[in-house]
Amino acid sequence: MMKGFMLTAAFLLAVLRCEAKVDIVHKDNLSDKRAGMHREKFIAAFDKCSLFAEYTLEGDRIVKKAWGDHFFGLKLGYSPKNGGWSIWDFLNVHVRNAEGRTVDALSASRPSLFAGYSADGADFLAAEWLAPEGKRLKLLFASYPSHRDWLFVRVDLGGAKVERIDFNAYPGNAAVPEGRERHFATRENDWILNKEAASFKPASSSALLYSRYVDERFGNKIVFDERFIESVSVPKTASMISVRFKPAEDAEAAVFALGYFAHKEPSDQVTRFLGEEGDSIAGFLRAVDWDAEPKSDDFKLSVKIALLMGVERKRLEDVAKRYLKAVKVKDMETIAGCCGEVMELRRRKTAEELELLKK
Amino acid sequence: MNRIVMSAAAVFSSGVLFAALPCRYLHEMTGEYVTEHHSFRGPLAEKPLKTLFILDRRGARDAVEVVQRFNVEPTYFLTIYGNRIAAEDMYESAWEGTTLHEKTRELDLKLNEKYDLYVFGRKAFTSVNEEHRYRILKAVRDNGAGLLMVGDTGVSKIPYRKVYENRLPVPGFARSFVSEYKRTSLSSYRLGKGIVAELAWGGDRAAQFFTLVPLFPIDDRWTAKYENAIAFAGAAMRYAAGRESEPSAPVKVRIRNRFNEIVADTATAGDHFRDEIGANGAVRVTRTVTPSPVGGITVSAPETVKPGAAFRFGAKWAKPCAAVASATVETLDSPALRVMTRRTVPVAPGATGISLEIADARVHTKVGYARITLLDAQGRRLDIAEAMQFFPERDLPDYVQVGWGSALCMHPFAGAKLLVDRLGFECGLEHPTAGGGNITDLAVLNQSVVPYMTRIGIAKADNGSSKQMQWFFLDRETEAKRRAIKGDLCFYRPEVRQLWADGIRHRIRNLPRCAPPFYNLGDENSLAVTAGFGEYDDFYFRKFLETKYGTVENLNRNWRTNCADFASVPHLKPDEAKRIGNLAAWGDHRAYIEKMYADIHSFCRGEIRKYDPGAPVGAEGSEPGNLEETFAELEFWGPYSNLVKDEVLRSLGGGRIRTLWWGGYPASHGGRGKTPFPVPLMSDLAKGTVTGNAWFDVSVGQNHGFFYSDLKIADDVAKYLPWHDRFKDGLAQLLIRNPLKDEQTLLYWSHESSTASVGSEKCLSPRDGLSTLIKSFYRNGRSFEFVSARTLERLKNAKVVFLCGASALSDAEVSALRAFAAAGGRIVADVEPAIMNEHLAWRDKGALADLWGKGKSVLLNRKLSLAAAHESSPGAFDREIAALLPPPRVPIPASGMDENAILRTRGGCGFDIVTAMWPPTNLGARVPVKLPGRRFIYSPMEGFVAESDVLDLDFRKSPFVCRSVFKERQRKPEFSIPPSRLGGEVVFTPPALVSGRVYNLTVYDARGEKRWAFVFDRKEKLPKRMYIGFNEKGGKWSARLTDCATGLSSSVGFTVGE
Repeated sequence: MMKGFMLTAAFLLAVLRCEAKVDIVHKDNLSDKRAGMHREKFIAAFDKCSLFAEYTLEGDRIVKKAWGDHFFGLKLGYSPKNGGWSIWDFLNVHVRNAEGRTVDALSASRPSLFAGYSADGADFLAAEWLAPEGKRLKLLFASYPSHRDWLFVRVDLGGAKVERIDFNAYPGNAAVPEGRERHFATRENDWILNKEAASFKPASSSALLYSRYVDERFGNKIVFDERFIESVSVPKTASMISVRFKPAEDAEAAVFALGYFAHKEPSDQVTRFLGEEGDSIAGFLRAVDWDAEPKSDDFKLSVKIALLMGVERKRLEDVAKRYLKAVKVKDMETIAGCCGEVMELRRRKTAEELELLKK
Repeated sequence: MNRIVMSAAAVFSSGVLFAALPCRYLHEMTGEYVTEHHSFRGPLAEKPLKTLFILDRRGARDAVEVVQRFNVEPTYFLTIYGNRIAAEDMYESAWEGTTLHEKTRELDLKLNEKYDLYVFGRKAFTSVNEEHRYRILKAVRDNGAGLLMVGDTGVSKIPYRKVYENRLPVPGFARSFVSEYKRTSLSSYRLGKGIVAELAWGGDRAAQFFTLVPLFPIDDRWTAKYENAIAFAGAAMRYAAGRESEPSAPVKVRIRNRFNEIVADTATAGDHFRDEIGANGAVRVTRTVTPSPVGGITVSAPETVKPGAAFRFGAKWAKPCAAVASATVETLDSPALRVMTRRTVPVAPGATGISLEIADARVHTKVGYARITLLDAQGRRLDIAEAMQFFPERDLPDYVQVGWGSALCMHPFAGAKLLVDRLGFECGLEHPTAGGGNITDLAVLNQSVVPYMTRIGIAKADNGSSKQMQWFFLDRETEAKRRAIKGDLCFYRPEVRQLWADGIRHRIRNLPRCAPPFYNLGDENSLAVTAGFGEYDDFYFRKFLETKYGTVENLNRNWRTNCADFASVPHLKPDEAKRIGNLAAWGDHRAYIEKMYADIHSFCRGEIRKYDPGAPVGAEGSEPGNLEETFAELEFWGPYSNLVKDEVLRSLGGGRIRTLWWGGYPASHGGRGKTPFPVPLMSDLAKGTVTGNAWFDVSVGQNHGFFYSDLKIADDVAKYLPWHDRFKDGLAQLLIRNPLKDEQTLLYWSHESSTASVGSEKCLSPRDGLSTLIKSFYRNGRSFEFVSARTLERLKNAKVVFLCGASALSDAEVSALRAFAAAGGRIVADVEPAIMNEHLAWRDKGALADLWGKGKSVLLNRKLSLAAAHESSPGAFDREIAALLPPPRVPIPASGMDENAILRTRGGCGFDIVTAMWPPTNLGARVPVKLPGRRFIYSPMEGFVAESDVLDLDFRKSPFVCRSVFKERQRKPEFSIPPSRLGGEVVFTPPALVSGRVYNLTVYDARGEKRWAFVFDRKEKLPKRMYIGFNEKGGKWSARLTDCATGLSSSVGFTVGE
């Protein structure tokens, strides 16, 4: 897995593709009452969704006193009235601390790694948090161009002791209009969460979060690999639906896919997702190559194509030299830069030549 | 549990680019499937034309057809349809190599090779990205390669002016090359060292399953037209690549007639095609038209003939001709063009016509031809004319195989041979085109159509009223009427029903003459129970209540209201009804929408039957609504992958056609190719929930498809074929025709109780207990049927009835159950039943509450799903249930079955059929089943297995095991076929028939090729009309009769005299 580089400022890493963008934004001037505090906002922008984690800090200490001190939000299938995956707190990963209590590792500390890269034709975000006993909680997010409406998530269970993973959503609307039923449906059952909580051992791999009577035409989809999940619970609610996964004892990681529907006929969506699409996404999820990393083959191929296209050999040789040097020292930024440079040479050559053909 | 390792390496072998399934059939072409064709290769060993084909993968077969005929070394780049090379969606992206990223990379690599020629077939040049365009144009300009763009109607222009600067004259060969379209043109331009050429066919319709040729009418002349077009494409390729395009001497000349037969001369009237193949490999095909010596013949014969019926054949010609001495009148089948009847009559000098009676055309296919050939005194053919005829006969096999798509979704004639003749997909689901043109085409190919007439979907309009989801099945005029209707489009409005009627009228035109085996009213039909609150809905809702309750007093009693009349009954929104605790009102709205859903289906069926009396009609894979009400008037209803409702449909749906789309789904529905077994089909056949094999979909180039683009069967599908064939050849019919053993155990189906469980948290869902019991019965091999308010007479023969979540039962249902208990029957309930009536009005107490603790009836007072999940010891739940059942009448496994195993026993025809399914991911088990004594055990379609008192269910090699169990040793079936002759008939004397004892008769011709296959167990399904064509090969024919239950078979040879 490609990782091990820290980002403290705007950073863009691209290998043949240039879509994953990761930013870290500092905000120092909080209100007078909060002098000495600052905020850090980690933003990962994928093709059709964005993920952002916001922390308030006093020195290195995390502050969580007021609303807005911490967010861990996801904009994916966002609907008006703050509906969809929670834009405030869509993911909690509960780990056990030294005192034996469980804490949400994602809010207890700021990420020690928040890095984007592209590999295997997908955009990845690697993120890590410090966890108790010097361990690390590692998360990977992936966005595939083939599944733009989905965000794939891997929670590493090999490091920190993960007790529970929560995904939170407000299908359609974060408010609580009268008469709305919140539903949580699997292939086996459909719970009206206003009336009862759900708790089960998963027999299938997908669940739909949706509403009846109000906000019907929006919903959130979640797919998981049930082999790595011991149980699922969803508390009774009329508002935010929190889907809580207890990982299987022996699993090394838990993987999920988050999706949504918007402006669609709900009965059709329930049927199609639980009957067909969920299986399809689950199959894809199971096969995601979380260890994908950029390959030199791509660079070599790119250079070969550039040569065939008539790009000046000397310029290519120059880029290739820099590339090989960077590979030796694992300088990912230069590697990406060289790839981008060859692509740019190809693009320019194409544009020049086609322009001539147009005249 | 083993430690689970989340490593990609554990999932895939190396080299996988994407998280998707390995796939070759969407990317590669093998050329393994060779069609009948005429070669256009020159006499000299010419350097092959190294060609990169960039093609819409649906029609890529054309390139193979070129390669078969010409000396071409092909590389293929296959793309999705449209002006693009890739699409990314949940279906397409499930396959490896299909994303834009991967396809771009694939083309990157393929363009690294040097080619003589680049061919874009039904693909705009702008489909590829700018870099690829430049690389191709560079190869043309700098290397002298050719670029040929082929379009079915026209060719979209390359967006670079320079390409078109140096126009070349139309090459000589192209000026006279035959084409069926007047607007066909071959334009070409010099670009640097190379040529850019455009072959625009000028066709009148898009040819989506072709890339290098246009669309031709499907008839007996199609093959010649296709041959000509492929030859033209091949010649254009040579030209674009800079090869000599004028045939050089010595030129080999060949004449073909309009039926693509090579003939000696052009003496017979009509079209002939002259193939010139030069020594240099250049090719030209020209048309010659020989005038008719009689000024043309007009044939008169009825368009539609009942099979076996007599009809009058007439032919008139414009002028007498002294050379005409006789006329041969023939009937031919289609598409094989076998001559089924032949009669030669003298033609008197000066005659200008004949008329004669044909007693029986003996055509056993859906379409045939009545043909006349005028002959001179020496027997030479002077002129030929014919008329196409339809022979409608609705013949629904016991095991129906239907593909989504048809032989029209590929090279049609080759496709029909594979799809219909080889694989047995006798039916194809198709949307009828205007006037049923495509349905007629399919009939010519002898494939039946299941017309997709409409898709019923009650949706909620913006104002809350009910509306039809889509109106795609209306013609323009009706669509205009729809737009003109003011107000809501509630189905019950007369003007809205008229839209439905007009839509059916439009779609059914010319369909009955093709005798569709059944009509489809849609898949994934749906209903929104939250719809139905428009102005008209309010009116019809009250009408519905009036019918349901009869009197307003009755309604008031159930609703606990005080309405003066039905007009003043409020139409409460669901949330409002629930809020005020009026569950009856809440349920009545749902019932109204469900009734509307059933009524639309029933209405459409009625409309279809106005045009095609007696036609079976239904839908599949759809929301059930009130299942029994929905299918009550339909002959066809498919299950929808719902454990309980699929069994309800099996049990209460009786003899209905039941199919479920499965098969092509790469990542859902079990996922194709994960095992070499067609698991979903096996499982459904074992359970008895389907009566057919419905494959989604068979179209070439589709991401759910059956075939490679070159018509090779996809690798994962090919692995299914041994089972596919076993099922088709008799095993499926055996399972369908033999009922599950009756063990006098019933499960109660109450739709109203299901509704109640949705409406009130006080009601347990029936699904909870029913699904738990069904799974228990499955793994223990116990039989069960369903009973419902509509089928209470079933209680008479039962010993036990289970009530699961049966909260809402009518007084009549309660009375019947009480009578059942009083007669010694046992009622087992999970929770207190009948706490409401059928209108969802609460009762003061459970109407059966006094039965518990008296007699045999038991109230378990438990959620069965919890009881099964938290049993005190393994198997405790199953044992508890078994203790409540009557003594078994079926073989019971001696050791524990897998939790998800299925064991079903059928019987009734003097033997038992034991069918078992084991989870395919966990093969390796062997389960002994104790038989009541020493028995003779056979494997259906395979043969004798053992004589034993124990049945060994061996799941080491397959998840599906089927055995027939007999008291006596069985013998081979006996039959006879006497000698016959060309133009005669195969007369088959069958063994004695017993319903359920299924036989397969397969007849092979003198070349050893399968000629007919019949699967039958009763008189009406007996082999019939096995007519031998005059132009078939005589000699030694053979037949094999297989007793499907035992797998024992006999063969006979018989002579067919020339």
